[in-house]
Amino acid sequence: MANKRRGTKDGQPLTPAVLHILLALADGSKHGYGIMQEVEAISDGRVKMGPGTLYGSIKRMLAAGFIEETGDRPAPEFDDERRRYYKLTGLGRRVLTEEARRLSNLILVARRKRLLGDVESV
Amino acid sequence: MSGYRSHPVPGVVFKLYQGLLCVYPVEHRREYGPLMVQTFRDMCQETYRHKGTLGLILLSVHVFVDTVISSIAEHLDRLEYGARKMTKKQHFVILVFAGFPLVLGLVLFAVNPQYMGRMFMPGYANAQPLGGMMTAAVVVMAVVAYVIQRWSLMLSDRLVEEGNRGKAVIPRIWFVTSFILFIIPAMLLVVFGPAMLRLIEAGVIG
Repeated sequence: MANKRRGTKDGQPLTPAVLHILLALADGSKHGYGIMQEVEAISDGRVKMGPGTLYGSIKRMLAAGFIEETGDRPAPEFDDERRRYYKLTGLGRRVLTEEARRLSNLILVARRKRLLGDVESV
Repeated sequence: MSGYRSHPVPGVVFKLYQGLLCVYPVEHRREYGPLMVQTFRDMCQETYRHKGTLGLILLSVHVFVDTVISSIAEHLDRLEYGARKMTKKQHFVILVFAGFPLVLGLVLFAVNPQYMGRMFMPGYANAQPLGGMMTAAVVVMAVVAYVIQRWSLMLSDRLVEEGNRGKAVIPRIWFVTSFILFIIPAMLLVVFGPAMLRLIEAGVIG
């Protein structure tokens, strides 16, 4: 079920939660808490999701075909069988790439308009 | 690391969170509830280890707010899903139900313009605002009835789809109740409103 309101429909900008989850999964499969930790790390602690937001987003992303459950799991001694692991699908990777390009174009515009002067000089 | 931080997080915290999950729709809870509890457990243990009791309290507040907001989002999604599944026939039926008092007013106006016209005719200083108020009340009642009926129909279909036929009775009761509470009074107001205005003008009422 593609969701227009929460930005998981093709062509719509992604919500921060969906974008960060896709980014977290870009370099390999992870379980829910692993995604949460990665999101916190890549956002320098600015994006803190609770379990409700995380699994709500995961549900919508599964329905939109951006991610899928995977059977690739770590060795049993490092694994908890109750966990579910998720990975990006081809569509999810394409959507993430498109979104990254869109944001990158926005950054270029911001640079041209000299909005990032302070950041660049740091 | 201080001593108390090496103790496990009190189990009551998880029990409370487990109880809080009842705010989510049943199927979401069934599918993701255990995963959410496990993730919460991981978060708590990590936070308790590094930030102690205060960290745990702050985390609990954050998770509580997140749960409330995300549960509203899940319920809205559920309703949106119901709206998408709603057939044209169902839409038509509730529109006819809710719009009936307004249609009735128009029919009465066509049959006897003088009778209904009293609600809006200039020159009746006392009647004019009352007529406007009555018309506004009828429109509001029709809209409220439409919203309740649409919502109850979607919810009842969804519950049947989920296999909760027993629970689907409750929204159906709302459906009937909205008819009794809003549509019937609106119809009575349309039919008897102008007569009431005449009685008010004549000084029989008020």
